[in-house]
Parts: sequence; C-alpha cells; structure tokens
Amino acid sequence: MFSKKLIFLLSAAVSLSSFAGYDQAQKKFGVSNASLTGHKDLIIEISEDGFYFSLIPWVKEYLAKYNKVDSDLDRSIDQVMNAVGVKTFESLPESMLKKVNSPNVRYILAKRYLSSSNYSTVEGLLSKVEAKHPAYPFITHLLGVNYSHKGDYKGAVAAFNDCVNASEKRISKIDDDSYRNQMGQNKDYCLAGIARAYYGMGEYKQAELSYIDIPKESIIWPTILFEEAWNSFQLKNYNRTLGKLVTYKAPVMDFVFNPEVEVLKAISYLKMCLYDDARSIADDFYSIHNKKSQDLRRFILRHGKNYKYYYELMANFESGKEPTDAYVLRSLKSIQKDGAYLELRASLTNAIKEYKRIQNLPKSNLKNQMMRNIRTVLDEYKSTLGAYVRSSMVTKYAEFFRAFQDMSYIKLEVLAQRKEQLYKNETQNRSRGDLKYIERNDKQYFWNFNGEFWADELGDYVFALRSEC
Amino acid sequence: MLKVIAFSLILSSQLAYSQNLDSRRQNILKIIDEELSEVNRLAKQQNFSSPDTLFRMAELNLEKGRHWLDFENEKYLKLSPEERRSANRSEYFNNSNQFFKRANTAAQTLAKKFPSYRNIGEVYYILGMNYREMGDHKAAQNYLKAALNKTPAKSSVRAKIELTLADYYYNNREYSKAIPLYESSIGKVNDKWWTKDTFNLAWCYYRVKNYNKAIDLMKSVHKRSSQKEYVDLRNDVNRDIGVFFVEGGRLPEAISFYRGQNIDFTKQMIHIAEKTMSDGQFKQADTLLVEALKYEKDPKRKVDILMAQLNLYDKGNAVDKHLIASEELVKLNQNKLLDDDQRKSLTYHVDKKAAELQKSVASKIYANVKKTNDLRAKQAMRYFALSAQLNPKAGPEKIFFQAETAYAANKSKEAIDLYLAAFDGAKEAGQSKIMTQSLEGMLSSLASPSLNKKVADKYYVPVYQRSLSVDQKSPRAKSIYEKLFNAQVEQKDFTGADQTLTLFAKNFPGDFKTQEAMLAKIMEHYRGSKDYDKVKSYVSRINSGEFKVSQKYASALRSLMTKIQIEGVQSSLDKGDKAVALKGYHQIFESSESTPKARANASYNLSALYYELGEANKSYQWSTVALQQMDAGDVVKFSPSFLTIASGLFARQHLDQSADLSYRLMAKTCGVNSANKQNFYKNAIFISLADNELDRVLEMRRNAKTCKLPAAVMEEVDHEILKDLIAHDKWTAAEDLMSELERSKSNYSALILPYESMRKRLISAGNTGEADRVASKQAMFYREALKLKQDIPVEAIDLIALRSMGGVFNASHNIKSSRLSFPENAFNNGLKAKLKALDQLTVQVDQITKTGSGKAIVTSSKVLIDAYESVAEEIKAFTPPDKPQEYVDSFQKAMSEVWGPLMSHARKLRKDVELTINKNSILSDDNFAVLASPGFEEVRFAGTEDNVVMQRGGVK
Repeated sequence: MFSKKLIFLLSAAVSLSSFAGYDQAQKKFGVSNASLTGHKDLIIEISEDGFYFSLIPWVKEYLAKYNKVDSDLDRSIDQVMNAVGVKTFESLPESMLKKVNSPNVRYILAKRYLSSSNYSTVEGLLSKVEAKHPAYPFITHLLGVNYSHKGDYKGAVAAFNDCVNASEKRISKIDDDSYRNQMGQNKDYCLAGIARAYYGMGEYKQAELSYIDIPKESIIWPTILFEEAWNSFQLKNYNRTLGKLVTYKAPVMDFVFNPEVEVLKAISYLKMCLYDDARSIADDFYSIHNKKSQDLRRFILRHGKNYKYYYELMANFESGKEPTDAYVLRSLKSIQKDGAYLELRASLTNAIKEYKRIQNLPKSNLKNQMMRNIRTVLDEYKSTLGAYVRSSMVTKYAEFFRAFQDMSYIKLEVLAQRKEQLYKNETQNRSRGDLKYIERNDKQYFWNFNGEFWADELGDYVFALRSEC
Repeated sequence: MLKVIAFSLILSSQLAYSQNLDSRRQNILKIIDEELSEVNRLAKQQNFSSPDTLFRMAELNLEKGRHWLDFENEKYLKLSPEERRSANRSEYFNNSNQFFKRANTAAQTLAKKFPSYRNIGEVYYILGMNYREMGDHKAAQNYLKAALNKTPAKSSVRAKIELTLADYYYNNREYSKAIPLYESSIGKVNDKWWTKDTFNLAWCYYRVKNYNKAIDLMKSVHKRSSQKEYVDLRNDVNRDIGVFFVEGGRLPEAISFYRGQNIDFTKQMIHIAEKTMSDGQFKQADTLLVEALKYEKDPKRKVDILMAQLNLYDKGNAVDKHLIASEELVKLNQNKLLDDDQRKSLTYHVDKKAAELQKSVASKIYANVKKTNDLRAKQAMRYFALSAQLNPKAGPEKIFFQAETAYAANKSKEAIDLYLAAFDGAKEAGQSKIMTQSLEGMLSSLASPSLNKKVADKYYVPVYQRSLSVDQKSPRAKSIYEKLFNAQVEQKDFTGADQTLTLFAKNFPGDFKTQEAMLAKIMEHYRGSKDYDKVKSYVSRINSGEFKVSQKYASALRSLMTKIQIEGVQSSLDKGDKAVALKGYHQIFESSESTPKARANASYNLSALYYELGEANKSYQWSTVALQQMDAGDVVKFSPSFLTIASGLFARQHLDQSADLSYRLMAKTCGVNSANKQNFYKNAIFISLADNELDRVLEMRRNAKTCKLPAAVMEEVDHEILKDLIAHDKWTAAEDLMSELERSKSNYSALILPYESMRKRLISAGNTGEADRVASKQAMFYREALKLKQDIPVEAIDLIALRSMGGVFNASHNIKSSRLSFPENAFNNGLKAKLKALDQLTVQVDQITKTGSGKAIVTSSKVLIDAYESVAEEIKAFTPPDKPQEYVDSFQKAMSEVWGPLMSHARKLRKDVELTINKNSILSDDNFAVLASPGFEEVRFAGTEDNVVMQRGGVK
C-alpha cells in the first residue's frame, strides 16, 4: 500500500522583476527574422522578466545543442523550473539534464534513480541541495520517500520531519495561494510519510498518532483516511477500520472513488469471522461494480491515447458538462480533487496568463517566436493533463480489476472457513454474540450517528461489532 | 492488496463419521461448488495466468473427488457380493473420477505452465494424491517424490508429503527410504495420528534390523497411547513388541515388559505368534516360538508351544520344522505329557502332513526337482513312521504307505523292501488287503525302469514267489510265471526255471506259445552247453505230451536238431578234417529230416569242398545240385564262389561244364539284380565260342534277352558272335545279327568291316549290284560315325579313304599324258594347263589327307609327288625345236625358273609325308616308295609262310 507514487509539482514564485529583461532581449534579438534558438542570453534576459513557460522550448533546445551551461544560465533554468514545475522537463534525457546544476534537475534525476531503486545515488543527489532553495521542502520529501523505500524508516521519519519544518517555513513566506497550497500539501504528505514510516516499522500506534497530525481539511486526508483504516486493521481494531471506511459514505467524500475501500471492509468482517457480512460485501461488489467497471474499460479502449479528448472531457466536466458514463463521471470527480491534477491545472493557468501577457507585447520577431513557444507549451500541458486524466482512469480500472480478485479471494476464504467448520462438524452458532448484533444494519454500526455526517466526526466512527471467531 | 490467502488442504482422513454424514457432505460439496465457481471466475479474470488460482482449482477438484469417492465407495460396498461381482466397478466411480481428472488437468496445466511456481511442490503433492485416489500408485509416488524435492523444509504440506510417501515406501517394503520420511514427518506433526505414524516407523526400523530403535519407538507409542490425545495402539504394541524384543535378542526385556502389564509371557508369545501368523508374518512367529521354547522349562507348556509351532509350520508350510516339532511331540506323548485333544491334534497333523507330502511326491509336482522330491519323500516316510508310533495297530499299513511314497519318489529298491516288510507284516497280522496292495506295489516297483537291473535281479524271485504264493492261476499269475521264469533264466537258475515251466504247464496247459518260449530258452541253454542229452530229453517230454507245442515249433525243433548237426560238420571243417566234413554234408543232404535249406547248404558246401579237393566233375555236379536247391538270393550271395568254380572248370579245360555252370548261374540269376549276372553271360558265351558251340551260343543269346542285361554288354558280346559267325560263313545268322545291330547307330562304325567281308563275298559271287548297295551302306555308316564322333577302326578308315583314290590316279595320269610342244603359244598354254592340273590334284590330295587314313595319305602323297616331279622333268628336258642356240639357251634359262620351284615343292612334299608317316606310325604299302632313297625303290621285305596263329580256344 506504500507503493503509490506521489506526484509533486514544483512551483516557484512568479518573478516580479522589471520588464527590462524583455526590452533588452528585444533590442538584441527582436530585430532579426532569424531563429532565436540556442541563445543563452535570450533565456537569461527573458526569464529575468518573468517569462517562463515561453522559454521552455528554448531551454530544452539549448540543452540539446550545447554541452556546457554556465552559472548564469544555470540559475535562469532553475528559475524557470521553479516557476513552471519539473513535470515538463522530466522527459528529457539524463545526458541533457546532467548539464544543469540545478536542485530541480537533481530532483528530476533523483526520482529516476529512485524508480530504479538506486537509493544511495538519490541520497547523494539530494543531500547537496541547500535548505534555502525553494525546492528544498520537496527535496526532503523525496529524500524521506527514498529512505522509506530503502527500509530506513528512522531516516525517513527524520527526512519527513525536515520536510514538514521546511514546508511550514516556506508557507509562512509565500503569498501566492496556489504555491502555498502546494507547500501545504507537501507538508501533509510528509506528515503522512512519518505515519507510513512508523507503519513500515510495525509501530502502528505511533503511526495512528502521526496520522492524526494530518488535518481533516487537507486535500490528501480522504486518501490518508484509507491508510488509517489499514493501520487500525493492523492494530486488529476492525471496528475502527470499518468506522473509518464508512466515512467514505459521507456526501462530502463522494468524490473518493476507491474500490479497495470495499475490499478492506470485507477483510475486516472476515477477521471478525462475520463471514456472511464479508461475503455479502463481496457479492454486492460484483453486482454493483462489475458491469460499470467493464463500461469504464470499454470507454478507455474506445478512446485510445487521444489525450486531447481526455483534456476536453475534463475541461467540459469542469465547465459543468457531465459525461453519461457513471464511472467516467466518478473518475473525473475524483481527479478533480487530485493534488497532482490541481498542480498541473494550475501550471496551465499560469501558462495561459503568460500567453496573454505576451499577446500584449509589441509586435516583433521575439514576440512572434515567444508566441509560438507558448502555444507549444500550452498544447503540451493540455496533452499532459489529458494523459493524466486517462492514466487516472486506467489506474481506476486496474484498482477495480485487483479489487475483483481480492473479493474473490475473500469469498473463497469465507467458503473455506465455512467448510472447515463443517469438517470439524461444528454447527454454526450465531448466538454467541448478543442479540443486538444479529439483526443489524449499517445505521446501527455507528455510535453517535443520527443519519448525518458531521464534518468533525468524519473518520472517527467506530463500529460496535463483536467478533464471532 | 490481498495477494494470496493461504488455503489449507483438508484431508479426508479428518472426516469424522457420524450419522449426519450425508447432509454434512452435501453441505460441504455445496460449498466446494461455490468455491469452484468463484475460482473459475477468478481464473477467467486472470486469463488463467495465476498459478495460485490454478492450484486452488486443482485442490478443490481433488477435494470434491474425494467426497464423491467416499460416497461412491459406500454405495458400492452396499452391494451384495453377487451384485458386486457382476457390476462394472468403474461405473460406480464415475463422479469421483471425473473430479480427479479435472484436478489432474488443472495441476498438470499449472506444472507445465509455471514450472518455477513457488508452490510447485504442493502442486505435485496434489497430483500425487490425485493419482493415489485414482489408483495409479506408480504415478502417485513419482509425483510425491517430485513434491518432496520441490517443497521447502518449512512448508506445512511437507510433513504430509513425507508421510504419504513414507506410507508408500512402507507398503513397498522400502523401509530404508521410509525411515527418514517418517522421522521428519513425526518430528513436525504431533497430532493424534502420531502414534500410528511412529508405529509404522518402528516397524521400518524393525525391518532394517535396527531393533533397539524399533523397540524404543514402540515403547514411546505405548506410552503416548495411554493419553487421550493420541490414537490408542497399545494392543498393537503388545502384539508386536514381543517380536521386536525377540529379534533384537532382548527376550528378558520382553518378559519384564509383559510382566509389567500382568501378561502371561508364554501365552502372550503364543498369542503374538498366532496373531503374527494370521498376518502372514511367519518368520516372526517362528522366531517368537523358537525363543519361547528355549526359554520355557515346563514340559506341559513346552507342549503348548510345540503345538503352536505345529500350527505355525503347517500354515507356513515349513515341513522340516513341522516334522521336528512332531517328532518332539511324539516323544513327549510317549511320556504321556499330551492330553487327549493335543494327541488328537498331533495325530491329525502327522497324518495330514504325511498324506500331503505323499500326495505331493506322487503328483510329480517336483518331478524335475529331484532333491526336493527326495526330501519330501523322506519327510513323508518319517511322518508315516511317527503315525505308526501313534497308532501301532496300523503298523503294516503305515509301512505300506512308506513304501508307496518311496515308489512315488522313484526309490524302487527302498519301496520294494518296504512293500516286502508290509506284505510280511500284513500276512502275520492277517491283513489281506495290505498284502494285496503291497504285492501290487512291489510288482510295480520291480517293473520300474529306474530300478537298477542288478538290484532288480535280486528282487524278482522273492517278489514273484510271494505273488505266486497267493495267486497261481489268474491272468496276471500267468505273466508272473513268465517274469519269474525269465528272472531264473537270467540268473541261470535252470532248475528253478524248469520248476516254473512245469508249474506253468500244469496251470496253463493250453498256452503253447509261452511253453514253447520257455522250452526254447531252456533248450537253447542246454544246446549252448552242448548238453544234447538234455535237449533230447526235452524233445522226448514234448513228444510225450508233457509240454504242448505247435506244429511250427515242432518243425523248428527239428531244424534245431539239423542245425546242431551242421554245427558239428562245420566244426570238423574248421579243424581241417575235410573227409569228416564231406561225410557229414552228404549225411545232411541225404537225411530225410534235413530241411531244404540244410540240403542246399550241404550241397553248396560239398561243391566247394570238392573244388578245394580238385575234383572238378564232383564240384560241377554238386554245384548244379546246389543251384537247384538254392533260391536266387542265395545264388547271388554265393556267386563269387560259383564264379571261382566256373573259372576253375575252364582252367581245367572242362569247357562244357564251365560254360554250362556259367549259363545255369546266368539263368538262375536272370530275374534278380546281380552284378555278376553279366559275367555269367559273357563267360557262358565266350567259353562256348571258344568251344565253337555257335548254335548253343545263339540259343543262350536268345534266352538272355529276358535277363535285362546292360545293352553295352549284349552288343559287346554280339560283335564277338558276329566275328565268329562270319569266320564260320554262317552268313544267314550273321546277316540277321548285322541287321539287328544296325538298328542302333552306335554300332555303325563297328559294322563297316563286317559289311566289307559281306561285300567281298558278294563280289566273289558276282553279285556286284548288292555289293555296291553294301558299299553305299558302308559309306553312310562312315559318314554317320564321323558325325557321331565314334571311334572308327583304322582298317575301316583306310578302306573308305582308299576308295576315293581313283580321282587322284586319273588326274595324275592326265598330267603325265599331255606333252608340251612348240610354237611358243602352244607351249605356254600346255604349261599353264599342267600347272593348273597340279593345283587341282593338290586339292584332291588334301581332301584325302583329311580322312585320317594313313594308307590313303601316303598313297595320295606319293601320286602328287610323282606328278610334280614328272612336270618338272618334262619342262627341264624340253628344247624348242628349230630355234637358234641363243634362243634355246635363253628359253631353257627362263624355264629353269619354272621347273626349279616345282622340283623343290616335290621335295618338300616328300619331307612332309615322311614326317607324317613317322609321327603317326603309318604302315602303308607305299611307304617304301616315298621313304626309299633313289635306287632302292624296289627293295622290299616280307614275312615267312610259317607264322603260327592262335585261335580263341588256345588251339592252332
């Protein structure tokens, strides 16, 4: 369950420096009709003027063309990355990235090494980043993840704590809401990282306490709630697990679309030897999700890798136009609340802003080329967003696929338990528990619940089921 | 998230049988069906790519199959034995088989598709168990072995695999292989079955003779069996541990072990032995009882053990041990230590075993295993001896049974001794039945081919005498007489033989044949010992009617007498006393009692004797008598002697007798196949020809035609006859014979000369026409003979060749008669014509040369040489008339070139013919003319008129 890849987007404060940079560049490059590719000064000058997205193609082209990047350009590229995020540069080859001595580039490279389990290289790359660098909170976050993957949970806790502190410091210094939100998310993820590290260590009680540190209003809390449920499961507190999971039924959580919730629920019943309940969940899961999940699959297959379509689908949805397919709709709702998606969308918004800004510039060759660049970047972002939407749907379908298997295993386990009882010649004795537990329904599962979900109680429900084992 | 949920395989052995079995089973099967349905769904979703799911599928099908198997088995077992026999078993197990097959398919697919599957060992385990359920134990074991190899040591299923495989090894008696598996398994699993598995392990150790370990484990099983958590195997331990103690040489411990439980040791040992025995473990039971017997001092209890041994050895068919125990018990019985029941049981055992062994020997089961057969026979006899001790009244009968056994085992001598003893014992006890049976047995034994003749000889008389003592007139008695008689003759007991004959003649007066045979043997004996008085006394007894014989026998008896006489004569001859021999043969010949054969024999011997004595006439006379008396076969047999006699007669100039004897011999052997027959014929003819008896010759020739003599012999003789017929001017007979002979082309060459004699006679008689016809016939004979490549007499060749000389003479004459003359043209033409004529003459001479006739070659060559020389001389001598000297000189010089080569050629021809004459030894009248030096041509030698010519008969 810790294999989820967390996606971080870096953003930087929008430069408010003078317009002089562009003018300087205009003087130098605006007169000619020649291509402006490969001009270091141009990147430096224009980046100093707060144009970042339109520089992305030139930066990539420069890295492809030249072997050396001097410190000035290095700084400018770092600045660009801080502003637009690293996502757009992640696809560049390692040889190109290595030319830049930027913490952001280190971050990109470190992610790559992490995916190939080269933990020591990740450590080497990230430990050199200075704490004052804007990307430092994300760097420490990634470092914590690296330690967790490595199995060094103590190191992970330390790194995540560093991340939390760095993030808090950064938040206090940021005015930009979007960036602050990102930093806040980063902090919450690092808090979750601490809890996960304890979980990894088998210190579930400590993990439980750490999970509590994540505020319920955090955008990641609904996801983390599921982890908390697992943590309770590990503590054999199945009633609490079920209570946490029932939170997902609250209307405010309707965007959460996680088939594993039902799986965990069924396992919890299983653990309490409430086989009929476990089996009922499994059977219901099939009847509810089987056809719809197949529809989702067909939808994905029908549209192939037409990212533009997915981008349009998401854009239309955000404009209030809902798709007819139920699970496509639920997927879109879920994606809409997804941190990574929000980061991408924010970048796109910023790119559009830059586009408008360039539009207002006087006509010149430089302007024309910047316009061309920003259009390319906008298309790229739209494609990236479309791809993200699609991959989220694919992931969703994969989750269903796995959940169906899990449900089958659960059902088989239920049947095996039943059979074992028969082999032992034990008749089922349903009277072992109190009568009040026999005719129960969902409503009776909660304490202090009168048919409404109270925001401050979300995640704190506890079931009162007695184990029949 | 939830990757794998461990599934436990619930073994059917855990099923507790209760009254609600069916409903419970139905519920279980319902759940299994649900599981299978879910697993199928899962497998489809995973596109059958998950080995875990396939594994689960295999497990469930196996489980389901087992339930069905239990159910079907119960159903099948409920059938009555009759119904079960006629039922098709497989039909009752359709459902279980179907699920086992499905389990197999799933497991095999899994094993094939995912060979590295982490639970592959368990897959193999399922396959193993599945095959075990399907009854294919070989495949089951193979899979279990594979399962063991592929299952990690810590796997929970490993213990089950080890246990199952160990059970297989245990059942296969591969105890060494089973031990480590049981060890490993019981070390891991401590359930209620621990006692059962450890019990098996203990047995394994016992089987590999690790008795201490086996005993320790048994003790552990015994100890844990008292705890309710384990299956109670104390009874089994009590039963088996005794065996282990005994085999382990720890008998005292066994005693204390049993005493510790208040168990009577001896009884327990016997009890264990009986139980062990009922399980077919005879060896262990035996050891137990043997050891118990050693330990036990109380005679009564010893009897108990021995009685148990009797049962054990009886069931285990350990005859040798059974016999020893029986003998021991018989001894104890004599000390009155057996109660009635035990005595009855012992008697039963002894009699039964004796009978079984005897039957085994008699049935020839071990006929080809002599050692075994002999052993069984001996054992049977020992049992019968014991039986006799247990029941003394039945002594003769038991001895009789011993004898029967010995007989069946081909121990004829032993059998006869026992039969005789049984007979005598029975006779004394008045048991006629045993007497009769013993008698039958001894007779059969005596007739056994396996009985050594020398040994048999000793028994004939006592056996046959016992037989005849009870039976003198039955048909079998008749045969016994003969056998007894023969035995007595064999033993040269002729007095006894005479008594047997006399008794036989008295009891079987009408049986001529047997009496004759017996008489013959006795008389032969006396004849051999030349006790002719005895022979004559028997002849007298025959004549007096004491012995009845047939006419034929009487005649043979006479012949015997004659033979006796001839033997006497022959002995005189052997001693060189020919006068006595002659007298004897004359007596035999003249005796009215002599048989024709004896007469023939005598007459032949007389002819031979007289021949040896040089008395030709008597020899001839007795030869003719002998030939009359003898049949053709004997004549052929003695023909060399007759030939000698005939030759001797010829040598002594008794030509008539020699010819007559030869002719008689030929006539006697005419119809039979004899190599000497042609000699007789040739001798008869040639001697008659020598004696000028041509008429007799012709008669003999006519008569011989039916004797199937070889054609070559007949023709050879015919040509000789022809010569003599011509020589004696017997032309009619000669012509007839020639006509007869010329029917065969093979005679052509030989007939040319006889016909020449005939031609000359015709010419002298003036009948030239007929003479020419004969000449033509001769020419034809010559040509055909050449074609047939026959040997033609030289005289005949010369005759034919010289007849063709006329042409040569004419040509020579023509050359010589025409003369050369001038003018030149005429000379040239004349010369050319002569030269041409010389060439033609040469060709003619060449033709004659080819006939091969020496005379014709020489004569024709002589004519040719003359012609050449004559022409050369004429050319040389020719002088052209009326021509100047120069012309003449020139002409003669030129002509020397012509006559020179002609002369030279003539000389060469002369040399050639000289070589031919010398090389071929040609004797021709013209030799001289060719070979003589010039001037000696007319000098000739000639013989005198006084030469003596001998004719065939040696007279002038």
